[in-house]
Amino acid sequence: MGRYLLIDDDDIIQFIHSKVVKRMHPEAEVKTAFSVDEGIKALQEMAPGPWPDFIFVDISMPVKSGFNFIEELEGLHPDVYAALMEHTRVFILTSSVSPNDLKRSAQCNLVEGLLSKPLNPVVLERLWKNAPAHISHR
Amino acid sequence: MTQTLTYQELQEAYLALQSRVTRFSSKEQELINAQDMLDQELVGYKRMNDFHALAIEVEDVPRFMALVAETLVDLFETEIGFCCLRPLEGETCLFSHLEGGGQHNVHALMQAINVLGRDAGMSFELSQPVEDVESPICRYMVAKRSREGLGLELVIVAAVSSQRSQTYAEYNQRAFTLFQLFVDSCVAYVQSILARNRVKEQLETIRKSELEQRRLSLIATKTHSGVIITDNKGQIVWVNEAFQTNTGYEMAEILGKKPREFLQSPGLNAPETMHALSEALRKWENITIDLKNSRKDGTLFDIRLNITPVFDRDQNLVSFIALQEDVTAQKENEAKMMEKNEELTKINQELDQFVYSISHDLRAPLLSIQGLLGLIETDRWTQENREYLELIDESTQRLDHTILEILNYSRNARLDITWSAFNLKSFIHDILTDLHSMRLDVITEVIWSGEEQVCLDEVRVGVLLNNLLSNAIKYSKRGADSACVIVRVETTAEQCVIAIEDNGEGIEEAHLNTVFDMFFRASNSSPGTGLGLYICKEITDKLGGDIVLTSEKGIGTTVTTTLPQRQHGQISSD
Repeated sequence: MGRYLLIDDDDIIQFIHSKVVKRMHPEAEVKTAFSVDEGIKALQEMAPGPWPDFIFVDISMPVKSGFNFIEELEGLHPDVYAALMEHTRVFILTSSVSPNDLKRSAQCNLVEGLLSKPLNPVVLERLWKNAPAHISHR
Repeated sequence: MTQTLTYQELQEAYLALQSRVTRFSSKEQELINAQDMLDQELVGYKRMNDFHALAIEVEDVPRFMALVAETLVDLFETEIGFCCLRPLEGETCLFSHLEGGGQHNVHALMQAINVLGRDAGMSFELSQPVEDVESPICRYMVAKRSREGLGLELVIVAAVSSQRSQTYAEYNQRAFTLFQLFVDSCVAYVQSILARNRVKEQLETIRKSELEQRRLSLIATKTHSGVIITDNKGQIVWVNEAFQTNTGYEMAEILGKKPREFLQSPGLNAPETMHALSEALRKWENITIDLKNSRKDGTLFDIRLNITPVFDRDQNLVSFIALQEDVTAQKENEAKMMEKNEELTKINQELDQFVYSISHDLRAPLLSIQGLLGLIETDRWTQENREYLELIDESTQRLDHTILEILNYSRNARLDITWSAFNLKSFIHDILTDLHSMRLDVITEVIWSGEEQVCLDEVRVGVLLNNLLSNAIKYSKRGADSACVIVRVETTAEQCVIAIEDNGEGIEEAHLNTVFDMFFRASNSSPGTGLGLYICKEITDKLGGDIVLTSEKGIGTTVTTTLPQRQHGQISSD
């Protein structure tokens, strides 16, 4: 159940997140991308759909950050962008505790929330139940 | 001694005196001219200060007075004619008397004096005649006040007897003529006195200004600031020692030059600066301005220049006085300070970045470990192994907690306060919701008073309340249904008071003084770094607030923190 796009340069965390998702929904389609460019490319290849239900993107990655990814999403083909806006929930999934990152992610229209690594079944279940995903750092 | 004057002779005397009056007038003019020359001939005129010296200038007056006295005797057939003219300061200046005989109409005489006195522009007041019974003497005093405030007292004493017979008409005519003469001469005399006084005043002014000048020139000479005096065309007429030392120029080589010709070179100062300076000079305005100047050897120095135009009494520009305060050292220090400040800002930013990077890099693998621990399937494990796993999980959580605490500490210490408006009630509610999973058995209650909306540093208050509330929940009474945490909040326009009360084990009195110390831990059994309350104290200090902990062993602990709200007009550091 569900389609996921996970973008993170850390392969161990990718492994963990995939596992967490698969444990919960063994039939889930999980696409992993290890950089922003890979993530964008993956999205382009998905056209004309079906689109992922969730995108989890890390902030701190070499070359391009998670925020760059969000910017590039906005630069995608309008049809793709519109489809994403309709189907996909985008979350930042990070180990960062910087208040600036929190503030910045709150300013991105596309981003629904900022989650703390590692992704766990409790949080994932909450997301599926459409509960407001509030995880913040204090 | 006694002299008989015919009317003709009196007329002649009058004419002679008239011409003398003219001479006195011209003498006065000379004196006025002399005043103007005083600057140069100061010494020559110093003796004029002496009254007697002036009396020499009007030497004809005593003789005239003698003539008057003689005439008094002759004309009015007095036995004694006595005339005295003196300044009210008390110094007798002129004195003359004669003896003779006769007595006549003194009242007519006095009336004549009065009339003539007024005509001469002076006001005379006649005193009442004093009659001496024993000898037939009448004394009249004529007090005179000059227009310009110079007091003179004219004393005429006429001792009158009627030994000589004369027709009334003849007497009257002669009397009139005589006193016309007399008063005219008095006028001349008074004018000369006035002139003398003007000279005297001038002298005093000059002496004063001389003193002042000597003082000023002493200051100008001795000061460490450069002083330039120019004429009204801006050409140098004088510079002080300091200027010569500062610039390396000798006075002789720059006299007659304009300071700009050798202290400035194109591009040394901004055109706006030079324009402002020129404008001030053109408009004869006072100006203070910071400039770069170049020395004779070509090196540069910074000055704070003040130029004051000097005017004479008629508001004509006489000169400019320029003060040059060397601010090179000051400027250098300022530049150094700026540099240091920038350096510090940069270091701070780098440190901040460093702390975040490190914490991120430390946490990333830690979080992976936690993720992996969550994935391990323990169903077929021994109880022992499961316990080990739990301990590993606990340890990684503590490690993560410590990293976050260090981060919080460093963030509080270095970052500026960021004020923002937020709803404190829902803020506290969110924290409590987050912390609920720590212990599901703890009941929390928030008692509110005042506005929910506050203006505080949200991030710092978050760390503070998170610490305090998690402590309260963590240490609440165990093993009973009644574990509870009460949060009392009272907000006013000035501050927020938040009291967090638990019913936990409490802290021994002996430890109460040290709970806010770094690395203090109340018990060995409790997990934690001992940084939590220390950070809370640091945060309240930073926010200008206060934190107080009261506790009773076995009853519970209450931590009360008072946080000042941002007041209107306070500058936000956003």
